Amino acid sequence: MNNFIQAMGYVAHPLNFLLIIVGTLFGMICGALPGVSSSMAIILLLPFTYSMEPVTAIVTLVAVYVGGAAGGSISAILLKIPGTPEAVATTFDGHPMAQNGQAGKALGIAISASSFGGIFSAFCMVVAAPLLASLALRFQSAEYLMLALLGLSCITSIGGKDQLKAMIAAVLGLLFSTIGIDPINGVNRFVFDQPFLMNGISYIPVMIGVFAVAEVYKTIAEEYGKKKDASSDLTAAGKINMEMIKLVEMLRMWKTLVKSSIIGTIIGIIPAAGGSIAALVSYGEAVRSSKTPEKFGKGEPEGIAAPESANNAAVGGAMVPTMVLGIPGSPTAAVIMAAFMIHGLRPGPLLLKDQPILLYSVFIGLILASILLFAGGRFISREFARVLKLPYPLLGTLIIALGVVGAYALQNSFYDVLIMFAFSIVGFLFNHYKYSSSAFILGLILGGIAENSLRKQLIIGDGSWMGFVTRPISLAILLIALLGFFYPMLLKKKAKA
Amino acid sequence: MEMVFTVGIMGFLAVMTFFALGIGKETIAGDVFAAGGFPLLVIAIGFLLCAILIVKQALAKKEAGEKLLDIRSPAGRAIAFSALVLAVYLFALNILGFILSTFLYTLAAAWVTGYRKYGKLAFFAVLTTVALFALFGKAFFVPLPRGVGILKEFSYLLY
Repeated sequence: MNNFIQAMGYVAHPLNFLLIIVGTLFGMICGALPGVSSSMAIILLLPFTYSMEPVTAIVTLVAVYVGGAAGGSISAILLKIPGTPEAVATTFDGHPMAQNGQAGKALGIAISASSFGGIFSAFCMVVAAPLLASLALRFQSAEYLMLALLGLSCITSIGGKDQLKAMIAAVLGLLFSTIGIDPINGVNRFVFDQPFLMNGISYIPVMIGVFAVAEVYKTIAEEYGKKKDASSDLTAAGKINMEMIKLVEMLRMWKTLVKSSIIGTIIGIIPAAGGSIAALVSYGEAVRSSKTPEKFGKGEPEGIAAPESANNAAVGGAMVPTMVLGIPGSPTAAVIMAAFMIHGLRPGPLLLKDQPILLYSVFIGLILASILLFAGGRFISREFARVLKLPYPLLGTLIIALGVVGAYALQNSFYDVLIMFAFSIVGFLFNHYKYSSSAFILGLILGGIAENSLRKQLIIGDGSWMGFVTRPISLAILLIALLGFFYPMLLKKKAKA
Repeated sequence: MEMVFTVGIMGFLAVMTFFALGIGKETIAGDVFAAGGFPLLVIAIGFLLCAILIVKQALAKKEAGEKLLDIRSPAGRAIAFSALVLAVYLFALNILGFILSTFLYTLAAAWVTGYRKYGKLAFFAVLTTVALFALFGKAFFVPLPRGVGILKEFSYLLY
């Protein structure tokens, strides 16, 4: 209790409080820009923290992480470009909702859900950090595979009327995920003597091409028949501003919010899993458990609340193994762990003993940053929305130019831009022939995890498949995944009959 | 046309099968799949799904589907030229450098999609180029393409 009060006093110091505000805003702005991830935002801010106290520095960087996880939803909703990998699932329902003239509401739901998820995981973190860390250690290859399958199980939900086409798109995504050097044997696969393919195809340029650029091509065709200086449909309803969602409306989605926050926290604590997987899995679960799964993908509020609460809950979750075990819970947490080392803090079991107020300071910082998302969200979405008033020829050009730079900025590689262009054509074809681009991206993101975990478990079990069903957590997740996969198909058959 | 696209996907899978079969099979004990096994599994599932889809498409009533890209229509031409202008932009990035190619791309892309207010367009092109350059080149220290020759030398004055 003493440590908690000390931590409160520490965070409440005007300078520390100001740094949390700055960190959250900076994280949101970077998150909203495609190609600039939370990791990059933290790396950019890291040098500025050298002169800070260690606890102040860590809390500031965690605020950036929180802001980045939420900021990605802004461009995902308004432009259909996920600003961060965590916001991929937010595009599924966020952008359609914006196209229905409810952009402000979509943004409000995203930020509210992000805030809820962040606060939820902060409480989990402070109450049960050592317990959650021990749970993380029980996740091995079999469980990772089942998590990937759980994420893939929502294909049939995303596919809507064209479930078969969604499955084909996911299979293509899985196939593209195998491009590169095989991580187990070091063998080149589908590289065609091109060095840039050896690291595989990064899913961010693919996402920009398949979602954003392909959408621009599609909208050009639609808009071309209208008045030449007509504004985008998103502004047809007037000024876009993030709506403050009433508590009653959020309470209607309480089951989704709590479930997604739990999923996000648990997946966050699993080393190297991260917010993007948490968002996809929780989206799939939201679809599976919904009474109206056919509404998802068309602007369903829960389709935004689920991934956003999960990806922000994963922030707190990811800090648990990072601080308690010294194992980064996500790629972004790995960067924060570097910050720990720079400031002379040694993550691991002794950290909380040596720096007792650190855990509580991070907890309070997480909660403050989650609350500050509202203010930051209103400001940034208002500025982003100004852009949407542009006539579509200008807006489309801006989106593509931003996509090109965003793809390039990822690894400072021109090849990523070429990949973006190639997949913009794939996305155009998918749009025309009603194949699900979302399912394709799902396969691409989860394919690597699925394959590696599958093969590692088989190696551990010396070729035996029993390991996937004899491990209780693995079996439980497998059953949920199978349910999630077949349930929408059964519903569809029932509807036809 | 839909069936043609599905057949096209099968063709792509067939090509990938050919390359997947050439992947080395040496691996460690217990690795049932080896390096080529998982891609082959995924391709096999893909073939099966495509076959089912082709059967369904063949049995379904033949509806006159929308043409993929009607170059004769203004909208079709706009899409085709947008993609072409983007391709030229990507080609020009490493030759003209980021600033000049982005400026020219912005002008060209908006023009081919029907924007004809040239004064506002020029202003928008300058603003977009400056904003992207300032944000990514200066604020985020992204080493933007510089171009060749004198353009490369000139770029060092800016970033």
